[in-house]
Amino acid sequence: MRADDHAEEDLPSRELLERLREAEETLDAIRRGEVDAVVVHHPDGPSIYTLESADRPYRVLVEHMQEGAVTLNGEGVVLYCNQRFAALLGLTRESMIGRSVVPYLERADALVMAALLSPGADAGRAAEVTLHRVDGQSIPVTLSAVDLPFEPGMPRLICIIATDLTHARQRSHELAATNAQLAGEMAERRSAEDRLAVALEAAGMGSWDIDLVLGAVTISRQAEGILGLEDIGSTARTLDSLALPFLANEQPEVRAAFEQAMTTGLLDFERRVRPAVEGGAHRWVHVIGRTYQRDGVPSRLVGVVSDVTERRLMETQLRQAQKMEAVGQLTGGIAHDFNNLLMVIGGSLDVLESALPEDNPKAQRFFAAAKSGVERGASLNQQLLAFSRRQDLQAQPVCVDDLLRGFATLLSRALGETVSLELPQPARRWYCRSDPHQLETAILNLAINARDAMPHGGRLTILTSLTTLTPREALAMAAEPGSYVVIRVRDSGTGMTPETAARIFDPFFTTKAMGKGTGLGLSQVYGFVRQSGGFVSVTSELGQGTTIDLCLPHTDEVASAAPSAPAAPAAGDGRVLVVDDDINVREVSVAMLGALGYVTLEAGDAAQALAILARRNDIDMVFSDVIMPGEINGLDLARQIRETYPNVAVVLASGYTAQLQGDKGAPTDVEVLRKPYSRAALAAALTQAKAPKTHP
Amino acid sequence: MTATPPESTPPSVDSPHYQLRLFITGSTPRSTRAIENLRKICEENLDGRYELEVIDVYERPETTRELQIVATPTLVKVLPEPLRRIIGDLSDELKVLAGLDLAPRPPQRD
Repeated sequence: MRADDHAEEDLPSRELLERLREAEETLDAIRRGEVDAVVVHHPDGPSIYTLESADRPYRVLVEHMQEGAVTLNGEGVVLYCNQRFAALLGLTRESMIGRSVVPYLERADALVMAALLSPGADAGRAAEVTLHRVDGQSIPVTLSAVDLPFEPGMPRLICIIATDLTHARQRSHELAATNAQLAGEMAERRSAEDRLAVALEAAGMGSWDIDLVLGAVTISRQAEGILGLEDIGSTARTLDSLALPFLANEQPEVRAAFEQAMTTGLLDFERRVRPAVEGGAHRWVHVIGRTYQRDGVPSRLVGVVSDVTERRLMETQLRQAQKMEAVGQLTGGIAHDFNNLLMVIGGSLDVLESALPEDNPKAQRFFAAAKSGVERGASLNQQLLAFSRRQDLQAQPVCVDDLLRGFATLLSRALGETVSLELPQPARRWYCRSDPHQLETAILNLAINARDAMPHGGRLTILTSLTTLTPREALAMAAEPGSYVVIRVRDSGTGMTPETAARIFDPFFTTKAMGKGTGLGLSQVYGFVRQSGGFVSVTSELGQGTTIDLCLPHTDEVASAAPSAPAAPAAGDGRVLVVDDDINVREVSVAMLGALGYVTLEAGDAAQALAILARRNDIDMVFSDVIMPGEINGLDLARQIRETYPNVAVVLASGYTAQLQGDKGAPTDVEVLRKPYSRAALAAALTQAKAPKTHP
Repeated sequence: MTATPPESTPPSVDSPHYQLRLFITGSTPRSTRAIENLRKICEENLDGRYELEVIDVYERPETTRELQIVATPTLVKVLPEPLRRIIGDLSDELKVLAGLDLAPRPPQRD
């Protein structure tokens, strides 16, 4: 019967027929295997039963995947495993099915497996365990377990996927090793950088690095400080703006130096940078660098920067000290010869004086002028010797404050009415080791200079204090480290330019009108202080007055009693052997001694003198120059006479007695006479030498 | 899975709108074949006049109850009425068209 034959008249029966046909088709399809799954409707929900052939794609997938797959029951017995899982253990699939998986695990992992198998655990759980292959090899794996949902009453099934971690582990080990190596290299590099930073800091240097390709500038904090870049901020980080800290008129040269470094490869210059604070002093900066090339093109400019202000200052001071030393040597040499000339002239005048006709006033006047000239020459020479540090210093402990107050009246008179003198009370009465007379002269010289710097009046302040010189400071001042008494002489005068201040101690340098000054006053100050083992410093600015510090070695000794007055000169009596290589000087001496009443003999050098002494025993006294050619000088001669002829008195004549304070020194009972000497001084010295000695 | 035609033309008396559901099980070859066959048939015969929902019974087993699905693949014509089920991979186009009331029922096989 055809279904649509009676459709018009019998609809319900047509629907029934359709239902029947549908049911038959369904049964037919199931019977022929044309379906994938059958859905069974239980009271508590539908279940889907897959037909065996339907899950073939999943089977293929599971069999060929690189992970091990295994189905276990609740006790860990293998119900199914794929080829890969068996291969992981080095077994065949057939030998595994039906056996527990636990023996293939490391002992400690048995608990882990128990947790994976336990019911009620999370749906997706995983753990890392170690499998033991039959050949004894260990294989790290990750196990991911999932419960297969099954009907109630059926045994539990757990599906586990095992992922081999051997390669991953190996890679992570390699990665760890690489990481460790990198960390080591970084640590080493950092420590090298640290060491460099410490070394740079110790050296007072900052570092900088310019990437010439990118134009990026890197500057260390210390370099920023030295260049004074902190205030300028990050905008300063270009090559061109590196020149900005330098003085405006030096910037083109700085830029040129950087430009030149690109071709020469080297950068090395010293330039002044702007003061950090407004009105501060300029600082000198030394920049050293080197250009590095890449592919023949300059790519980096790297270097250091340091503040050399102090070094330059020390160099300047040292140069000044060396110059003064050299000038001193020269001046001393001239003064020595000059002394001998004055000696001849003065001595001759002394001898001639008695022969001068008393009835010739004109001759008398010229004679007086000549004698006055000799005296002025001698005074000038004395100052030269003072500067060249070859004057005769009677060093003793001097209380500066007492000395200042002792001749304050004299100072005030020298300063005149328009300049007031101020002597503030010092904190203590410090003593220094010095020659009080020379110190007075030095202070007087400074006072006179200060007065001349204050033509319209002003104030002169002299104050004393104590300072201590560190070894480093001492080096710069060419002095010994230790404590010094500072005599600060400050005027409110016109001040000086730095150029003038640098030359004020030079002999014959003067700013005064021709004929007004000798140019030796401050040279005396300098020479005297240096000879006393001290130093002088000058601070002056145009319009701000001048401050001069005389620094003399401090001493704890207290002044001794004043030396006794020299004995009165007496008429000569006896035989004197005159020793001098300069025949003119010798003749003058002989003439002076003759006029004093002595009988004289002459010798041209020490050897000759000793020969005469050996031959004769009627000589009472030897009068000798200190400096003589030949192997024996005046000092050695004096010593030999002392030893061999204790009864013969010795008088030495010297242009500067400081030379007697050498390593050996003159015998204590030898009289020393300073050249040029007058007949009176000669008489006094000889008398003193003949007198019986009170001390051994 | 719902496939909506590019432009939805309003349903008319002459050309009714079809609402279809295809029940499958995962990505088995038969399920894949069923989807491909149905798409071809719909495009050729129901251009712009159908909504198709493909249901994986593994993912949504509860959906099988309402339409009394017993096996997969099964195509269900929900609209227009009457409701019809067609079982198999839908490779027999004439049988499918007949089930969709688009063609006369082919002669029954023995």
